[in-house]
This record gives sequence, C-alpha cells and structure tokens, in this order.
Amino acid sequence: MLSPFIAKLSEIYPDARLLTHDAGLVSYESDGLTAFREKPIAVVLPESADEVIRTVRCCFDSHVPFVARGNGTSLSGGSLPVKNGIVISMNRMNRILRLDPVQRLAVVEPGVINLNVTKAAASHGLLYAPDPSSQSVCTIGGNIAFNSGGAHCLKYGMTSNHVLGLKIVLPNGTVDTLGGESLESIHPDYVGMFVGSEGLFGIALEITLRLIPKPEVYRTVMCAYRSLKAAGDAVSKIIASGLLPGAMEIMDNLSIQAAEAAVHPGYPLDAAGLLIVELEGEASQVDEEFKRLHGLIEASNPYFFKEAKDAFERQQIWKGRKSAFSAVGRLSPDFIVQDGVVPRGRLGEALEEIQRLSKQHGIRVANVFHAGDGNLHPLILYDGKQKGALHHAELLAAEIIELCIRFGGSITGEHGVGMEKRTYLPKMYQPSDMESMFQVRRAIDPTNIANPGKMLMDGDAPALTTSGMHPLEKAGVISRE
Amino acid sequence: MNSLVAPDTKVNERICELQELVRTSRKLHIVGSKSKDGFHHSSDGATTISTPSLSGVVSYDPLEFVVTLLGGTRVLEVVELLEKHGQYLPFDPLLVDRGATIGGTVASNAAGPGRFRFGGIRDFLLGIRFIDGRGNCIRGGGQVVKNAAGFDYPKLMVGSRGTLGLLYEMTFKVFPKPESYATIVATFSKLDEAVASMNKLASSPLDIEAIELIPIEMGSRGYELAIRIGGIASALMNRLNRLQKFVPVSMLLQDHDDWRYWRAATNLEWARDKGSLVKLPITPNAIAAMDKQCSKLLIDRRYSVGGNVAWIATVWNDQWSQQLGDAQTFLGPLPIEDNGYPRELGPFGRAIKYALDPESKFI
Repeated sequence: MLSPFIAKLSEIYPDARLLTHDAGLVSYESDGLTAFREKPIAVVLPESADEVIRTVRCCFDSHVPFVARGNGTSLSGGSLPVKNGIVISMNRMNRILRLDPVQRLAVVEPGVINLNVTKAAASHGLLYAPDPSSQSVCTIGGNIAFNSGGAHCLKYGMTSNHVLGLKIVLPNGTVDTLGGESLESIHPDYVGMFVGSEGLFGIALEITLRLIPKPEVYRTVMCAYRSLKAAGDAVSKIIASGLLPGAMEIMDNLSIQAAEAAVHPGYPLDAAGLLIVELEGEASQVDEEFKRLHGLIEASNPYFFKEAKDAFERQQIWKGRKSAFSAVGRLSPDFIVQDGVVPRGRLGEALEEIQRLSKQHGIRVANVFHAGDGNLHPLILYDGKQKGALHHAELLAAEIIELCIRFGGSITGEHGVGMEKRTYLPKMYQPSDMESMFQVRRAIDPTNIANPGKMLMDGDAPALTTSGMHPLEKAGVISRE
Repeated sequence: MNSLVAPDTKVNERICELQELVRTSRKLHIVGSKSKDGFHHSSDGATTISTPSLSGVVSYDPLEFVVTLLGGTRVLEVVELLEKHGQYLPFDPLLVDRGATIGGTVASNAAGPGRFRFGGIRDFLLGIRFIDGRGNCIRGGGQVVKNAAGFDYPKLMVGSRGTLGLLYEMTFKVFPKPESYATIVATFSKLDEAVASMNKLASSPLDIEAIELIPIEMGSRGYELAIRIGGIASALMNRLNRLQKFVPVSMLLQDHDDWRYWRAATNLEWARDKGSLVKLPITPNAIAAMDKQCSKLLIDRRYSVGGNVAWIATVWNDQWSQQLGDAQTFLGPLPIEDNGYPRELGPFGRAIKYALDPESKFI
C-alpha cells in the first residue's frame, strides 16, 4: 500500500516518473562523492516547473525533505539523498528556452547540460564561460547550486559571475524571481546569494545566463620543470608581470603519468611539475602578451617547452589535464579529491607541506591544481577494501584542509561544502558567522526540508561506505577536477 | 606585504561602539560621504551612522592582487594606491572625485563604464565584514580569489543600500591595469544604427573595456558611441585600426584625453545641475522605447555598460516616475516613492531581511 505522501506524489506523476522500488532508486543513492550512500524513499522526474513547485509544496505539507539533483556529479556529496527524503531529478527539464545572441543571454531550464549551452552559443560566436571538468555531463542547475568553477576562472570568474536571473521555488513552495536580464541591478544581489547555496534555499526553475564573445585566439603552452616548486615560481612570476592568462594549471608527476597512460596527451613523463598556460583574446593583443609570457617562461628555466600549434594540439593538452583525475583513479581503487584554496603567493609552501604530510602518513597524494587562483586539488589515494584505509586517508585530508585555513585560504574553491567538508566550515568561520548562516537558513527554510545536512551540520549524516568510483567516472565520461 | 595597517585597537574600539549603537538604536540610517545624495531619503527618528570614521587600508599585497579596506576609505585613495602598483578596480567605481567611500560604493552598487569588460562590484568583492541588525559582527567570503565556502554574503551586500547591515570591511580582487588605453567616438544620425553598432561590437571578439551610448544634445543632433580599448601599447594601434572598420570614427582620444574623458564619465559630470540622476538596469532592446519617451519629455540620458544601464537626468515629474519600474535615484532630490527600496520585497528578499535584521532597524 502507498504511504499517504507517495499517494500525493502519484497525483502529480505518472508511474514511469515516480520511482519507489529499489531497482529504480539505487542509481540515485550516491553522487560524485562515492564515500557516502543513502537511499531515498522516492525519486520523481518532473518535466515542468509546475511539477517541481507542486512537489516542493507536497514535501512542505508533509515535512518530507527533498534534494534536487541534476546528473549527480557533485564532488562534495551535494546531491546525496537525505534519509527519509525524496530526490527531485531535474534532468528531464533540459530545454534551452531562449537564446538571444544580440543581447548575449540564454534562458535555460536547470537540467540543461553545461556543454549544451556552450554548443548552442557557439554558432553565434558566443561562449558560456564556466567550464567544469564534468561539463559534458553536469547540469546548469547543479552548477548554480554549487557555484561550480573550472579551469578558466582566473579571468572570468565562476558560475555565479555568469548568472543574471533566476526563477526559484523556495522550500515552502512559494515562487520568486531574482535578478533579471540586465548585467546590473538596483537591488541587493539576491542572485549572487542564491548561487552556491547548495540547495538550501530551494530549487532554481529557470535560469538566465550571460554569454560572452568567444575569444578570437587561444595560445596554449606547456612547460616542464624538474621540481614542483619551479613550476609554482613560474606562476608567481607570470601573475606578478601583469599578464592575465585565461588559465594556469599545474600537474605533478603522478598526475602526469596517469594522464599520459590514459589519454596520451604527449606530456613529458619525467617532469616533476607540468605547467599549462593559456592566453586568450584579440589576436594582436595576445601576440604581444605571448612575447612577454615566452620571456618569463624562458627565465624560469623549464627543461621542456611546447606550444600547441593548432586546435587539435590545444585540445590534447586540455584533454590530459581534464582527464587527470579519472586517470589517477586507475592507479588506485579509491581516492579523495580535495579543493582547498591558498593565497597564490603561498602555493609553493602549501605543496611542500602536502608532500611532507603525504610522506608522514605513507599515503600517495597526486596534485593537479588551478595554479592561477591558488585552488589546490590534491588527490589522496587509498584502497577502500583495506580496513581503516578510508579513515586514514580522511585524517590526511583533514590536515590538508586545516593547512588551507591556516594559510588564510578556503576549504573549497569550487566543489562546495556539501557533506564532505561541513565539519570544517566552522573552522573557517567564527561562531557568529555560522550562527548568521543558520539564521538565514531558518528564515528561508524554517522546516529544514531543502537538502538538510549539507553545508550546515543540521541533519542526520548518512553512513560512510567504502567508496569506489562513480559509474560515469569509471566509464571515463566525467572526471573530478 | 605592503600593508598600511589602520591602528587596530582604535578600529576595534570604534567597531565595538558601532555594535553597541546598533543594539541600542531603534532605527538606523547608514551614510558614507554622502556623495550619492539620492540614497539619503528622509530618515526621521533614525540614528545616522557615518562610516568615514572607519577608514584605511587593512592589507594590500600587490603580488596577491587582493586588497582589504575599511568601509569608510575614500575610493580615490584606493585608486591611487593601486595605481602605484599598476593595478586597478576594473569596474570603474563612480564619483571617485566627489568623495565616494568604498563602503558606499558597494552598498549602492556604484559601478561605471568599465564594468562592461570584466564584471561589476559583485564580481570583484571577495569578502565582507558587517554588523547585522542584532549588533553582531559577521564575516562572509574570504581573502582568496576563489572561494565556494558558505553563503555568499559579499554578493548579497552589493546594492543592499545599508538595509542589511553596516558594511565595515571589504576585500577586493584587483586586476593588472592595462598599460595603455585609447577611445574611439563614433557618431550616428539615428539611434537604431548606434544601438545596432553597439550590439555588433559587444558580440564581436574585440576586447573592449567600455561602450557608452550618448545622445548628442538630447538626441536632436544624433547619437555617439564611445568605445574604449586597453592593453599592451605596441598592439593598440593595430587594434584601433581594426575597430575603425566597425564604426564611423569621428574622434580618437589617447593618453590624457582618454583618461579625462572617462574620468568625467565615472564622476557623472554630464548630469550635474540637471535635477536628479536615476539609474535603471535595462537591456539593449529597451533603449529604443525609453529613448523615444525621454526625447519627447526633453530628458537627458545616457546608456552605459553596453546598453545594460540607463542613466536618466531630470527634474522630477510624478507621471514619469510611475512609468520607470525598477529605478534608483543616485543624485539629487528624491523623486521615486520610498526611494525605490525597500519597494515590494519578494519572499526571498523578505526572508533574508528578517534573518539579518529581524527588527528592521536598518532603513
């Protein structure tokens, strides 16, 4: 017999779009952070904003928690189901409702895949700038919830910097419109407040995105160093010179090896540190910038230097970088990926400290990071089948997060707090800051039903399991950045 | 670390005093230097808090491209400090020469033409400290250029007009300043041609710092587009030549002339002595209808940020004000009912106001 709550949902959804049996629920019990699992009581697959609104009202009336989910690529456990709650799977709401090339904006549903916006914009010479590594699978709705980043944040910012307006449903089922179509506003920046709120403020139903002209040219180089520090120093010099590259990435030897084995991007296998720098913009300006960049790189004394000669070679360089994490996954059955930030000037120091901690714990750590903005991505390798291995890896992870806080940085640059880092948020902020966030949370969601337990520790924690890769990751479709 | 540390104990004492003032007051009205007098609506019975007593650079590390400032710091001081290190705030803060403070700039979202290229105040504000309606000091965001931890209070406070808290410290990301600039002014006899050219340029792969659309003598003598580019000096001439293929050039401004032109624009000099100055967020498609109306009523105006902001300078008339919709008076007397805000707050805005200022002290 159906519970009264499920019966209410069945008034909104036909059977095929209301999943309540184990076989249907199992693929929703985890996301990109595979160390956590929780089975929802039901999964609904809305096809319209109206269905989402009715579902949220239904949850509100019955005090049932809900989690909105795109394609489940969250690396912080953001779309992990909540105990005794439902999952609202948004990926059928995947229409681009309007694309206005003249005013350079797109109005989309939350289930649209990130890369599809970029593809739709490309025919007009435009670009949707945020490019998380999972861009071929992750949805705009999920990007909104977690303010996703990517390799090109240095110049153009994160997701939040590209969202103009939102239609949202609040946790009590009321609908509101934030922002609009203009780049400017005369109200408090509610859009900015909603983006990155990790589902705690409700669900985005319709999103207005800003598009920018596609850069005329890219010039992408990679150079290899005998030490990670030398690569880090080169980054500091480039930043100090006043150049503003679109991206600056560093990979350590373990990640280079893994990427080379997986996708053969032509990385030098013996490098201790590989630096990728990309300039972008108007051709004549970029040519002049390149002269300066070249001089700076020469002075940094790399033993290997290569410029991508064409679009294919550029793509190869990025393919290696973007697949690095799933590639590292081949070296180890399980890994924890982190995303702390340190001030750029302390990057070298932070990397040395991570290497020291890795040795001290006897755990391998691979490093891939967005060097230009101090965003580290240490990968802590472990085997979940070995007793205590996950726990040990988490101890090392904790020390790295605390290092980022101690250095004056952040516990997360782009993956969000989610389940994974919620115990660390109070270490980064004072009790009064935390209390303020709880006050805002309570005012917006007094019954605590919108993605409870994520970011702020106010819900039941699902049990930790011994992880494994995300199915899409195993298939090489997504990767952790 | 190049750090002009404001005397800590004195600052902390002052912050404690302000906290106490917030706790014991019924209504509070926060002002900076009052350079944007349009924000200072009638505040009968409210205690006025003036922030310029809290000023100074808390920390500035040019190699990190991050600066932390107390809210009452004059923007001019900041601009000059950054300039010494070849850096700048790319969003072109307004009214720099009229004493604008950095706190007021954030609270009023006073970004200028340069907002076009890299984004507005929301895109450069990394961290904030404020006193909430309970008198508590709250920090949001951080001091690094990338941060996704916790609710994004820095963005929320942009445009909050002192109604969500007293902003006393803010951290900005700064950028390397282009080493040279040049500006092309193109003249059009018809508005639609000017708008079409503006849209074409804004969608092109040309890296443009700012595009402003300006009616000449209220549109009676046509319209001009002012297009600014910046970058490495040796590439500038090449880029200017290319730009000239897009638009009919009537004037080229370089070096000091270029600087003076944009400095006047960010100081809103054109709107002086014209009554009130009102800001409206728009999109390029709205310009045609708006301009027709302004032309009919002989109202002066400019379209900024590639057609995303309309500035209307006018002696007020009630009939007109009702048609404006979302609008904010920046300068001059108060034409708009309740000064536009708090106009009808939506449920999200109401919840946030209640959470941060439960007794509605900040008006």
